[in-house]
Amino acid sequence: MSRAGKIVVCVGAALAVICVAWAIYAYWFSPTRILIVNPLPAQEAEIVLNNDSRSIKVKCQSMETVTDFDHYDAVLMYGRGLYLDSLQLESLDKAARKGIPIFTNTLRNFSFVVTHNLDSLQIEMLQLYFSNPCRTNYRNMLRYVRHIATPQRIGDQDYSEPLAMPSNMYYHLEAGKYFDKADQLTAYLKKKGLYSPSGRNIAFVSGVNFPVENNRAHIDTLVSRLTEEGYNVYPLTATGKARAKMIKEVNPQAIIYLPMGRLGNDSLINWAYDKQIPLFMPYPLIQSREEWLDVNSPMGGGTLNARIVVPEIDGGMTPLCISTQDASPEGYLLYTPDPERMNAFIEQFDRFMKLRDTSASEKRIAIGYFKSPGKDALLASGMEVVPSLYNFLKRLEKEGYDVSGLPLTLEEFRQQLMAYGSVMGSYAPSAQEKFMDYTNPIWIDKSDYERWAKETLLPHKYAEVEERYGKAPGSLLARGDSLAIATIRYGNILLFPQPRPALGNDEFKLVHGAEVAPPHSYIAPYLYMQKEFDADVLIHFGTHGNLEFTPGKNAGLSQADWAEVLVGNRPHFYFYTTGNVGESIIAKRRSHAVIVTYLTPPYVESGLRQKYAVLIERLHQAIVDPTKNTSDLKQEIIGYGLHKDLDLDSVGTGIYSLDELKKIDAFVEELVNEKITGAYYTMGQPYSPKDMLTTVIAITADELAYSRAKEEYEKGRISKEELQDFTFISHHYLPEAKRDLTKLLTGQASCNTVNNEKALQVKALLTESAGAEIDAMVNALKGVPVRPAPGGDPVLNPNVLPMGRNMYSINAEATPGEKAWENGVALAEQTLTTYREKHGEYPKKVSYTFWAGEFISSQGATVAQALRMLGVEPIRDEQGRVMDLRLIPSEQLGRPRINVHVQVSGQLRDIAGSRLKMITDAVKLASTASDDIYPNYVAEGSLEQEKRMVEKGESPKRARELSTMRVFGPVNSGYSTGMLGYTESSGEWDNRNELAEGYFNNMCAMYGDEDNWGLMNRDALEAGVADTDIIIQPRQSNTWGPISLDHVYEFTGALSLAATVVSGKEPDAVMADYRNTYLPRLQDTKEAVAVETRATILNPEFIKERMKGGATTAQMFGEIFRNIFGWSATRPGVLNENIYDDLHDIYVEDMYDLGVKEYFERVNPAALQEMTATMLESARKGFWKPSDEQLATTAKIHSEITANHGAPCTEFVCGNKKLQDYIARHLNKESAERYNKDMAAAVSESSGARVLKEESRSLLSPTSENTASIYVVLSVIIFLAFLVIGLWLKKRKDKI
Amino acid sequence: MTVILVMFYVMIALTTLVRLSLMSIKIWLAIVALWGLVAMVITYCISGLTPAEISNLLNIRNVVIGEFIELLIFITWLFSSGGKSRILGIYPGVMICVPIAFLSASSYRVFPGMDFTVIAILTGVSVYVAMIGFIFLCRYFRLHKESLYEISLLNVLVCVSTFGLS
Repeated sequence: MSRAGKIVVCVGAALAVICVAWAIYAYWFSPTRILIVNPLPAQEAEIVLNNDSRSIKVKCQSMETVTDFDHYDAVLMYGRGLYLDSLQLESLDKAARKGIPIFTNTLRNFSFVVTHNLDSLQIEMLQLYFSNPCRTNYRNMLRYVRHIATPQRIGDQDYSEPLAMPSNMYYHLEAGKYFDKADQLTAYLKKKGLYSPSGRNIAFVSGVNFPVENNRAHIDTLVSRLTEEGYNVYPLTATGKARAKMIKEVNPQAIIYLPMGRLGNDSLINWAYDKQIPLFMPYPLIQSREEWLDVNSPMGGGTLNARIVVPEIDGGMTPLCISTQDASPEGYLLYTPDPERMNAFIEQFDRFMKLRDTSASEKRIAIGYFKSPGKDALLASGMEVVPSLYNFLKRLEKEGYDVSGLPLTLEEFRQQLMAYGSVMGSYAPSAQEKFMDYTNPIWIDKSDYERWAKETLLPHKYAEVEERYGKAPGSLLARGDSLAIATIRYGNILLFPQPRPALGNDEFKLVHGAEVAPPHSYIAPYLYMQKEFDADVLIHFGTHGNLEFTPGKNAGLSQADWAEVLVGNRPHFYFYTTGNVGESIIAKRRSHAVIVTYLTPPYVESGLRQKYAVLIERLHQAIVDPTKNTSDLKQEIIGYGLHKDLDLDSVGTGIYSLDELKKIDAFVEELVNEKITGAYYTMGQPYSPKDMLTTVIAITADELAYSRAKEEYEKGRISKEELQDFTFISHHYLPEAKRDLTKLLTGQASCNTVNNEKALQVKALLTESAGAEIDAMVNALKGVPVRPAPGGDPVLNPNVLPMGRNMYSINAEATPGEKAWENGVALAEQTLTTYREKHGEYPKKVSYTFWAGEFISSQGATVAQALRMLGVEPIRDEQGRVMDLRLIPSEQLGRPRINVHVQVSGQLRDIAGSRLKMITDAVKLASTASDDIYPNYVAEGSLEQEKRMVEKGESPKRARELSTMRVFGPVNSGYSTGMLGYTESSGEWDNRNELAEGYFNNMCAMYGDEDNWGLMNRDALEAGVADTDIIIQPRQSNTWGPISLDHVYEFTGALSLAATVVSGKEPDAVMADYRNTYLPRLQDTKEAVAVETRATILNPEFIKERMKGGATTAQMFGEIFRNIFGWSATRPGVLNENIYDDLHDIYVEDMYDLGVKEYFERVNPAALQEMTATMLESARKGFWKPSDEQLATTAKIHSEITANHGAPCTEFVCGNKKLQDYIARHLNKESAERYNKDMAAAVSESSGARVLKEESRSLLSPTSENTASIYVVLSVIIFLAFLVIGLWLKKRKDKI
Repeated sequence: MTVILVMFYVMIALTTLVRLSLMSIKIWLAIVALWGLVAMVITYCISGLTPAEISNLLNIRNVVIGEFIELLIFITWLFSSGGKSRILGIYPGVMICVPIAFLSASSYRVFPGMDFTVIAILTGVSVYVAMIGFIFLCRYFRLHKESLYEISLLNVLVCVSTFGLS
């Protein structure tokens, strides 16, 4: 054999040997590769870390990332939530065909279960290993899998049978120690010296039955720390009835639950509250620490639902995140307790429990209340604050609290509050000086303040404050090295007003970032409360303050979030109106507040039925009998001014058509049945008998009327159309229902006669409520938990009664609910029908406003509307959660797909972020719909949006990405649109377009998908609002309307203005009215404003009722005036053109002789100053065209009150020099001088109007003409030179 | 300014196409095909850039300088011979990538909503066809070296003016 041949043979032999060796290794010695799919991170760590065999290689992958199944020897899958796409299933099939064992662990009947190449015994074994998670079982499971998948491989084939772990058990720190009975654990604790005979028992429920061993550092830390504090901790894991039984066995004084859904059913929860056992629900997060702390990564979806939303139903307190999941050095995710949060929880828990031990006289209570700057009243939605606060303090005194120094009379208490407990605005330095000199505030030395700040705040957070406002003590209420804070002290009770959260330019600045630190003057009282006063409890009094709206995370706050750190680790209670559940939820989640609900003001008769009785009768006759439709009737209608509200002709001759008469009839019926509220409610004082009667009727009459109508319908006496006609029901059934209820409630009839027990129940609950609020708070101060309850308007949901309870939200994942979907569909189609009738075509774009309160009350009906517009419907799972969307086929839809735009409040964003993503998914689905037989305005809108953004300078790719963004809101982690402050700082802007600028700047954060969550993009918003045809505002409460609630003009008005500025046309504006639960409907905003205006601010009966109230009620008038101003600024068309004249007649001329001026001078002069100032500013702006006489009288009243009571120092007046000058110009010389002097006494002379301007950017540098000329000349010279050279070269060439 | 820029880009394209028309058919067909491909790629990549970023990339002053250098090369080739002429003759002109990039950026405005890949292909094909068409036109009109020289001179004028006005 040649040499080459030998080499070939040797190489071949070597290769053969290698191959054989490899084959031997692969067959007998290689490690078994096990793939585990879709484990929870906690399980992954447990499985991997308990693998003690080198012959087993475990790889864990999520279901999203796994691709190849056939490169493994065995595949194990966790079935919970598992979903594999077609490619993955193909690979799985390939693996199965190769003989690879595949197992899916199931807990219930999951839709996805895949098992291959395993017999029933093997499946059972694996199921047992999975169902009994512990170290030993995980270890043996892996060895067992090696045994069945690769039995021929040598080594580590031994395994033990699965250990049966008790599914319901008590346990403790030591692994492997499990107990069936609480007594056994008690004995164990005693043996270990961990039992405290005088200690309180805590039932500690650690969620579903894992982790029991390993990876539970957070549980171990909690158990250890609580044991150190002297508590006897009984950790248990159990489900269903067993959990309830085991909790009760412990005989606990407190329950701590790491929530995953509800603690138990209503029976268990009621038992706990009956036994006065508080529920605490801190939670671990399956997120890294970075993700948790990232403000731009809000908590949402299933995590928010399971950890926070659902536990709120049980009334769980302290929703603090106590641990995250972070990567170990080996790369596995382990629960990592956060030391600061753990301390925070322990301290809050301990302080709450100690409330039971501390005597009343020793308890120190801090009460924060809310007030506008200057002389305006204390504020709380629907509550007369001063007497309520006084009643509360008197009750504390009765309970044995040290309230020494509390004045004997209410009036003296009020005077002290106004004098010593005021809020200062930065625009009134003179007023600040007076306050510091004469009211004996508490002075905090800079060194103390800085020390407290260092102890409490993170260094970088304090640095933010200094960067923005300079070193302590800052500029507001500061003198030398000290800072003054307004407080009033009665014994162990500290009252303090919540200061302004921003100063100077920031007060109305167009905020464009998340990190806006509050000033020193805001932080100081809270630090004082914690460090110096050392409060046992913090109470916030009334709806609502702004602490919970300071920037930061939406839930799971940390020490880096202002709301959490300024409240500190005190039990925090919050008196909150039941009518505002949406914002209360923010307080619960962002400042660990326990809500204690209080009543809304009573509902009163508007008195308009008498006024319009004759007209109503004539209208009904005319509708039925056309001969009765005469020009007299038309003139009567015109005489009431109703034609203006309904955009009907004002020609005195002729008649209105039948349709017009029906429209007028519906309007008047609504007017006379409008539910209005009376004087603000005082806690501790039940409604008067008259108010009680009208309120119960307001709550129960509709239901009685509709039930009677339904009976008639079922008997065939009325048609379905009549049953669904609000006007018909109002006319034929409602008056009788009200009469019958009146008889029942006044004892003139019995339940049997009227067939309505509910009215008596509601009456009883309302009566109970007046005492229940303060009772609940007093009990809470003793460590008794506050019972949970739904929230909302009692008219819509009487289940909110009685008061004194802790409101909860809804499960956003289950929205829109089925009923909400029906309502949403009906309203969406009604929108389209109404628009088509008016304009002759479908709208192309509909803009919605989403609010938290409406979302909760209506179970997501507005979301449903938006989906229906797009032609998309929800798909629910068996638990009712909306898991997916389906495109409604074009044929079935029967109309074009309509484009949508959505603006959201920060509160809604926080509680229902997943629904916003769902809407974006729906837009994408609708945009790409093919085979539509009708136009697809969604696709057209996306294209248009893309084009606009490219024109604005976005890259085509980015413009394409953003073309489906439809959901916008305030800056991420922020809540303010900024529009209220900006609009009402009317001295700062001259043109409505400036307001639109503010809107675009503030509301351009996108909330459509995770990649773009919270990113600001003004161009996208402009593109989004452009060409809006109709704007829809939800309305779900009888306690507010478009002129009584500022947020309505803040959202609808501002959006309308923005759309008008961009497109040049004003869209229609309607309200989606859910107040009638039987017949939700759409109403033109102008009509809604007209109804509310006629029923309230222009209605003498309403005014008389409200004039029974005190300062806070009086302040409400000022708010309505400012809201009317707000509408004038943003969408003047909704207002009657005579509105200001009417206001002048009633409030300045007192045409009804109500004693208006006397009332305001008596209870709240600042309110009348504000009202007159608003009217004068409206005149200055041109919104009102008054006569000289009207101006003079208004200015006169304003200056007289200023002369008698001093400058009000409210923002509207004192911050507006232009207005002050305007007022002075319309006074006589003497009054003008006096007025100027009074105003100067309060504000600085140097304060002037500041107009905010965006920094201008120059994109192009100017080109000097001279430079251009030089270059042109130069170019000519060079050209000539080249020409000459060229010709010379050519000539030379020719010669050659 | 936009008008001047467009004029400048047109001159760049004109000069390069005339240059290409002076090459053998096989060579210029290959080069044109390459440019078509480049146009496709540029169009696709440019979808992720904003106009401001594109302006930065196609900084006018840098383009003018580049084009000026290219014109010098063309002119030098016109008056050289032998080896130098052969070496310089290889250079087909690369600055045509600038008007191609401009065209690519504009194509998104013309076809909003269309898939980016489709736009890229359309642009590539358009460039390919247009270049071929124009070169055939040059050959039909028997454009020769002197024509290139004249156009280059004109382009120099445009370069200097554009530089001054930018």
